[in-house]
Amino acid sequence: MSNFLLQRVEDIKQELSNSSDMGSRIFKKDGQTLALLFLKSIINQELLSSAVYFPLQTFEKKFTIENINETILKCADVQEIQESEIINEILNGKVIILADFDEKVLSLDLYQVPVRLPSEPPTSPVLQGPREGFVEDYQTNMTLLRRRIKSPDLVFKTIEIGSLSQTKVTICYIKGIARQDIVEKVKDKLKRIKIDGILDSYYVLSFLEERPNSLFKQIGNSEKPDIVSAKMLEGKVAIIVDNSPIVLTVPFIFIEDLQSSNDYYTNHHYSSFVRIIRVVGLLIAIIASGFYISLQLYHYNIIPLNFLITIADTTQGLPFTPFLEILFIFLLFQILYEVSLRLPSYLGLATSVVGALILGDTGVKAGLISPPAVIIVALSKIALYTIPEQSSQITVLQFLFIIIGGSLGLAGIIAGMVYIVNYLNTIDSYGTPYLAPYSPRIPRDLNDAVFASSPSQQKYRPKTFKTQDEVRK
Amino acid sequence: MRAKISVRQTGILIVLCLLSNKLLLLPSLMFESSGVDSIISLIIAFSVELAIIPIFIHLKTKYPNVSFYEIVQLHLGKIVVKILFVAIMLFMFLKAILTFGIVYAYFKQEIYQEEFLFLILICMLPVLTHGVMSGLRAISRTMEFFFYLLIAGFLVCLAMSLFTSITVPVFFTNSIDSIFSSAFKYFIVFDDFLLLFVIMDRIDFKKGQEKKIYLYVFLGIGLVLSLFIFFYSKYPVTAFMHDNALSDLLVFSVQFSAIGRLNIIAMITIMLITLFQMEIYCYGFCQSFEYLFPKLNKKYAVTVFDLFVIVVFNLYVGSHTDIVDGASGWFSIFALALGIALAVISILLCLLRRKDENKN
Repeated sequence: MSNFLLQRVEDIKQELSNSSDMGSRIFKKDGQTLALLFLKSIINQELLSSAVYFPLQTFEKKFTIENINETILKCADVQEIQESEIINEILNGKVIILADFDEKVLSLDLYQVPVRLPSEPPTSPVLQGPREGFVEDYQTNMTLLRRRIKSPDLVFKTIEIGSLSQTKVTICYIKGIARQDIVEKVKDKLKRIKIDGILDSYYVLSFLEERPNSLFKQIGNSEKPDIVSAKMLEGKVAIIVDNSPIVLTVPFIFIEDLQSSNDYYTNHHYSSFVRIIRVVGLLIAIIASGFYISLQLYHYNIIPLNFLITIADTTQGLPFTPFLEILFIFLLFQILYEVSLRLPSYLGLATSVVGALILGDTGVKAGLISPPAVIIVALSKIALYTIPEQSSQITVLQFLFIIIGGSLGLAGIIAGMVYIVNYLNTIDSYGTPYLAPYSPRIPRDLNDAVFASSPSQQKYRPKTFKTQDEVRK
Repeated sequence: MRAKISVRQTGILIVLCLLSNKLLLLPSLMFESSGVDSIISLIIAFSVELAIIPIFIHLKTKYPNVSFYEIVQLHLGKIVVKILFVAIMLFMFLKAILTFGIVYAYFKQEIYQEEFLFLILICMLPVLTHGVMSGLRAISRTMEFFFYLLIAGFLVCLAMSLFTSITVPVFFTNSIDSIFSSAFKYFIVFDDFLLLFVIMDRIDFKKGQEKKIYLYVFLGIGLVLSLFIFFYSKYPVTAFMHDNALSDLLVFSVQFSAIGRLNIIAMITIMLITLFQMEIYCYGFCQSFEYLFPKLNKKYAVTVFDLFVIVVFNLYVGSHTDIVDGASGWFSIFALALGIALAVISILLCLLRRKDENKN
């Protein structure tokens, strides 16, 4: 009998490729044998020795599964599982208890991995308001949300995705507020994911997007539990992915990225002002460079005279056309940006100095580029970060508008803008128009779109999301 | 079921149709015929075309979810409906070409000093093609998105004209004949509500929303009338020399050189309005094409439109004379006849419906 148990232990070890973090322990008493199997790397070993090993070594009664379950293993969740589940349970940080005197298999939850404590996320710092951010552990993230919404209607549904990674993905929503069809659609999309590993929420994101090949962001993301809670109160569905501090939300509309958590913790008049600045920043970021080229190439007659003289003075004798000049500076900025991202911070600083001072200043002095062009590109690059969440897509648009401005002029830029808005109007994020509440216009929601409103003025949930319960009571 | 557009979006389509072809060349053309009294001619032309709105609303109420094509086919037969929609398709195409021609002349004169036909085609056609392919809902949402910007641009142009000396227009200095002939001479520029019949089944219209429709109709008419009034007040004698009314309102204002070249506001406004009008006419053309050739989808329709535009634009449009000839003469008679035919058919359909209801 005992040999049979040892053989089973060996078989399980074999199945787990005799991994070096595989642990096992055999206990014998009065001819009865118990075997414990686990992965050392993902369990709490201290708890295992104090709460399992020690009681088992000093156990005085006869070994039976019931005795063990009732008297010894009080330290954690114990479940009786099927033989077929053993491997999966071990991989999920459980300690498996096998006995030669009983066919039952016990699974003891001692899962523990190194977890970072919630701290302020570097991507969304706030002057006022909560500084907690999500961490890589999905259970901690659920706790952070549960702490904010203490309602029986807050629902978490966890599924595993990834044939190898078996990553826990949790759908969170507030029952009675979130639309059930969206919840079902998210569940359906998640269940249909066929992939070997999910290493971050961005892996899931691409499967959730309604138009996976689109340049534009279609799924909301945040590292802050207060923001995600607020979005869930608006009727959105959140998706927590284990091993990622970024929580996804659907539906997503364009205006969301113009809003920052800071807006809700400061005076709403000031927030409105800041949001308008962001819109202006967005426009500058997208079209400033292209517009400058088009003015220089095609429409110099509409540039105010004094400005025209300044431009003429500074561009005299330049070897490049305005188009190539802007393109050159744009690419230079982009290269410097990529370099500074990848280098360690101390080297990144040095690169910035080299880029900004030496390349920029010397380029101007050497007569390769003109100061207005540097200012225009720098302005559009700085304006990009008024909406950091959209920086990647705006960079691509900047580049496109430089080409359009250089080849088609003002008419091309306007046509390009109309084309983009038209395209955005074809996107529906989980049944929600992407440019709502502006097109289609939803008057009630305009009080918290570009113009901000205080929480006391927000008596209704956004109509845009067609929530089940519209009143915030 | 195909996606519908709201009454507000329909209203915005109406405003944009009403503004079409009337912002640049028309005020100077009408001034040549009837001087400042062109404002009265304009009111007469609007009154004539406005008559179709109550007829349309009545028809829409009677047939809430059926397309105009289906109704005409059901009651008047296949041949009538085919002839009618060929005419509508032709009308849409002519309006598109006219819009294209006027704006081409404006841009050539004001912005791109050199020949740039290929350039403006590259700017326009991809936007039109994409607009039609993405459907009426996306187009109308885009127009809704830019609507306030357009109105703001338009009003800034009007407001800036106040910074120069203006003269109050003196009316009835021309004969009644010239006033009436001026109203109908360029009727191709009017007939703005024909599109409503093409998209009839796509409008989410409920009883009681007529007021909203009328509000937008009068907004559009009000904007055009104010442009004419401001333009003639600014150029009471030389209006016939100014082919780009909206843009020329800004040119001689005091602020023009003080702030900078303000006509960029007019350029952006005109460019946006033109793009939207072209989208509307392109959509109208393609929708009619789809009705006439149900086996061919939108891709074919929009390709045909693009090809026609390229060919006609290369062969025909470009000079001022071409545009004036195009806007007047047979085309205007055709537009007037089509408008009357649609009104008569709509009244007939309403009567037939009533007869059916009485029978039941």
